[in-house]
Amino acid sequence: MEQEILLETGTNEFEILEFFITEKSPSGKMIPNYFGMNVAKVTEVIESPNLQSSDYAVHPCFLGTIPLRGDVLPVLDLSVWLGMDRNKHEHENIIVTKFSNSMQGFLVSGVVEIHRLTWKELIPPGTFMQLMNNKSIIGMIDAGDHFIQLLDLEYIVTALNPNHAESDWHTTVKASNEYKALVVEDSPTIRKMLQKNLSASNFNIKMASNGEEAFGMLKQFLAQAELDDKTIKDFVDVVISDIEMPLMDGFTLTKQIKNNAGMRDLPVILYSSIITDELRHKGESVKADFQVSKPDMDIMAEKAIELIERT
Amino acid sequence: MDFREDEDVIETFIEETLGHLEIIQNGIMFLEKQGQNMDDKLIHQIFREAHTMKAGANLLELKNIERLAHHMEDILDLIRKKQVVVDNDLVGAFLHGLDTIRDLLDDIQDSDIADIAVILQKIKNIIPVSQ
Repeated sequence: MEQEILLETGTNEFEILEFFITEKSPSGKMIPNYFGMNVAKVTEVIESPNLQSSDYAVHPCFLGTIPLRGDVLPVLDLSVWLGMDRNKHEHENIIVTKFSNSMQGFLVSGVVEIHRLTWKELIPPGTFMQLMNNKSIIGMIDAGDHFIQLLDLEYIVTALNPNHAESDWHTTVKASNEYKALVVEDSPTIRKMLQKNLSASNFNIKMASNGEEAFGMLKQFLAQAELDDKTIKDFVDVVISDIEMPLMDGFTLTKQIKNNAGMRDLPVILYSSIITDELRHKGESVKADFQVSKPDMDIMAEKAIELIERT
Repeated sequence: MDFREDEDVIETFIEETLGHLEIIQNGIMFLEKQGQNMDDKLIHQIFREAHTMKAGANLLELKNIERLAHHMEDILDLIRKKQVVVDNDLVGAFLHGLDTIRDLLDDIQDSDIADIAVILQKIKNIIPVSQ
């Protein structure tokens, strides 16, 4: 999507496309429920050609495919995934998304607008939120007279498409020493996976749910290191971080680390499902040591070991 | 989308909200003690707790809890801007508000038909007339 003013990197900002799905309340009123998705994943919004779910669908969310400029676009009914009884009407929209090398369309009642926010404004989901909506809420945004639920599209797409799953990711490489990794990731599912895979490569893992928590931990390590006359590398050998997270994103975390005299020698690896040229450039501008896109997660452990042993 | 049917979700929400209430309660009483030297970071932290609580209640469509959390946010905002003093009356109203939310959590399925007009008025009375 075209942007007139480019988002700066390391400013902790991101943009969401707000959309809504209309439900009929028990009293008969039409209630819009507001949701958001990261603009970085959206390629366009089109009018829905009124697809009907088929009896032969692989999954109840799957509405079929539509041609889109020579490609075949699978369309998913987001309201079915969210367990909502969508009130169908004539002019619904399909939000076309692309990430991790796959494209899909999400059927919604309509779109509202794009908001530019900071990750700091995103209210992180408590544990109970993660139990809801099939675990697809990254957080909530207060838009004044209503809340917007920011959805984790990757979770939804992965759950619906087994081929998309990160379970394919495995490493055979093993570190010669037990290296300490700080893993920063807001999705509990992905945290578990990273824990499993990196531990298998002989890493000792510490976890943080977002950049702010991670930076707090690093500051504590640094303070302790100074007391014990050690360096931060006695506590952490490498930081492995997701990019999109509530409160503080991966780019901002990297910038904070590299701007801190006691921390800047720590190798930082960023990963995301949307490592495009633009994002790769952003990662370089905040001096991330390496960037991995989701399909290439296999090389994560190997690259971490390489960066640790190089210094 | 009726999450109120899901016991796990409700139990966890209640647990988390009680946690938020605890922090808010301790925080507001500490602010009273601080008097003139109120810690901005503390106000911000209490505000965040109320904000998160409000978001959670909104998600579960628990309107009364959301409403109370929203009013508390408004007062915390006034405290932050130094437009209202954290005196005995304010703390009293706040604590009453927190207790009301605890009562609503106790009977969560009926929390929206509970009558909270009295506590709402009490809290509104704290807001200076010029607002």
